[in-house]
Amino acid sequence: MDRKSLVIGVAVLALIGAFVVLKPKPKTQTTPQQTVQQKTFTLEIKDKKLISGPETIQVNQGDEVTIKITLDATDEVHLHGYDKSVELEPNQPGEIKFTADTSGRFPFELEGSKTELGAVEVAPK
Amino acid sequence: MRLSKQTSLWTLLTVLAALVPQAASAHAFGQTYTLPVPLWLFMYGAAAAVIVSFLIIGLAVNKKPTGQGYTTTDLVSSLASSHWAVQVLQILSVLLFVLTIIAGFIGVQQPYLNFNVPFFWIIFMLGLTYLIAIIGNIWPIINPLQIGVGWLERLTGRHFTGVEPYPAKTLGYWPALATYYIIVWLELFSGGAGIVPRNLSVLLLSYGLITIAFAYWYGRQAWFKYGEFFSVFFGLVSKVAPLEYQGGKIKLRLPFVGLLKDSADHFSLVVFIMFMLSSTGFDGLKETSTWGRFVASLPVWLHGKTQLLDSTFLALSPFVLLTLYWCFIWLMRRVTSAKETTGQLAKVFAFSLVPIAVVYNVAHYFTLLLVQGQSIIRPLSDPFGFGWNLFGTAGYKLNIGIIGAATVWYSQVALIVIGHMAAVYVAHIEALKIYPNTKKALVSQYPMLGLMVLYTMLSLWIIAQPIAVAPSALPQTRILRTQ
Repeated sequence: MDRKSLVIGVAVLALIGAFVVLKPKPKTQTTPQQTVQQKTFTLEIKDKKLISGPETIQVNQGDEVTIKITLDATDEVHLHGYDKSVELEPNQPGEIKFTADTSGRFPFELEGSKTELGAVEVAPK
Repeated sequence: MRLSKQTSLWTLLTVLAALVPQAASAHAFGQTYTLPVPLWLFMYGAAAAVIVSFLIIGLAVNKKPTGQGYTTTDLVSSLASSHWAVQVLQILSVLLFVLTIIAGFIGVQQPYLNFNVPFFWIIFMLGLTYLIAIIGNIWPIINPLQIGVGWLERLTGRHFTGVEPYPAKTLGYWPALATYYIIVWLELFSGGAGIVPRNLSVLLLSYGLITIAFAYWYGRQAWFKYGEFFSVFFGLVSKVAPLEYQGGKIKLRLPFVGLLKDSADHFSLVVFIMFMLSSTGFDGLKETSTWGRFVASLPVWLHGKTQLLDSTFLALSPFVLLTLYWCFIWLMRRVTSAKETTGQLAKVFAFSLVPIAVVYNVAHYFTLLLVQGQSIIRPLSDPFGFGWNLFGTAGYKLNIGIIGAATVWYSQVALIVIGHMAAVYVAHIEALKIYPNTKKALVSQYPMLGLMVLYTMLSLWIIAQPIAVAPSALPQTRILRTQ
């Protein structure tokens, strides 16, 4: 084996090693209970703006998510990707429920006025 | 006879002017649903890029390139253009082009229910780009406009050799670059105008007519080399492919080495490559909260003028990267006291940035192809939205779980690092070609390396940035959404 292949081999091994060391441990190992987490968020929207509740809803893959929404107008809130919608009447709370089985970032918006309100970020397992 | 040129320019301008006031700001492409790359992975990617750069330079230092700089193996030794497979491909390509245009005129105007929007913006613009990066430049064979010009030549019995020679020195690739800007603008900043099926058909039809007019005026060869955007773009992308086609031969080569064959022959091509990098970069950057804060810090009278700002920044973006590139090339010239001018060196090394541009495009958009690319399945059965169900796929729903966020991260970072390695390698071989003295070639590569590390860091940094929620002042209509 010449010097060149040796250098390449060592470099490849070092890079793989660094990756394995740096990569965070899967969440299921740090929290041994395998039970599904229930997560509920409450949002209040006035004048097409989020006035209370998180703009970015952060959950983990597998969580059961409930988003309770109150609106000051008649409109529909639509969560992209998961493609869930809820029709809302003024000041009548409604909710979107889903199991976060797909990781990624999914914006939700007011369908009628095409206003982006925030996003659900589902962290991978 | 100057008329034909002016008429076609006017057609284009009129069409564009008609499109501008259509809608508010929008992102024509729908969603990618990707999460920003986590910090640790960003750091890892960055470190890996730096380490492998030095490794490549250190190991490749003694390699003296010969001839074109790489070897090829013949896969197929003779494939005549009259071969049935070629003919079938060509007919298919023309049919798809015609279908795309017709669908916009007669079909429903909801972008995701019409065949033409997902086909052009996703399957063609992304899918074909990536296919060409893998299988090489099939565009000259399947370009429906080339085929159309060929048919016209046969019909009229005269060759399109040009009424006037193309002013290659002055015009260069600027017409193709202008088209590139318009396409990216339509895709990202036209307020959704570019994804209205009828608009898209008008644009494609106009583009087809303009291309044929210019091919007639300046000659077929010149226009498809310099002026026709897709030929220039796919031509550059195909240089990274492991296959090449030459005189009816299909040849196998190492990926990326195709970039060594020749170098940029005009300053405008250097700017074109910068725009390949910067248009994708800017699309990524403007989604981040960092950019949101920057825009908020601008003078008050600019607030809310999103479309104007975005269009301006998009136009300036290649020149920002070019300035950076120029500084590093100047530095390289200084340290090697080269006899070439900075401009000449800039052209010699421009192709070595193509791998970074291509992988960054793939890293940024491949999830879009995988997820939103599925939106072609429904209109395949019902291309015009008339309620047909030709192949039983009219009720297809997108599968958004086709690729998990973690897989996306790893592939994005891996792609960017691989592209970076290829760029460093290509630049190094280029340096060995022009500097007979190996030591000088080596020295010349430090500024180059700095530049590439900078570009690569920028790409990685952008995909690692938190994404901003679009402020309600600039509503985003996502037309190609899942439902």
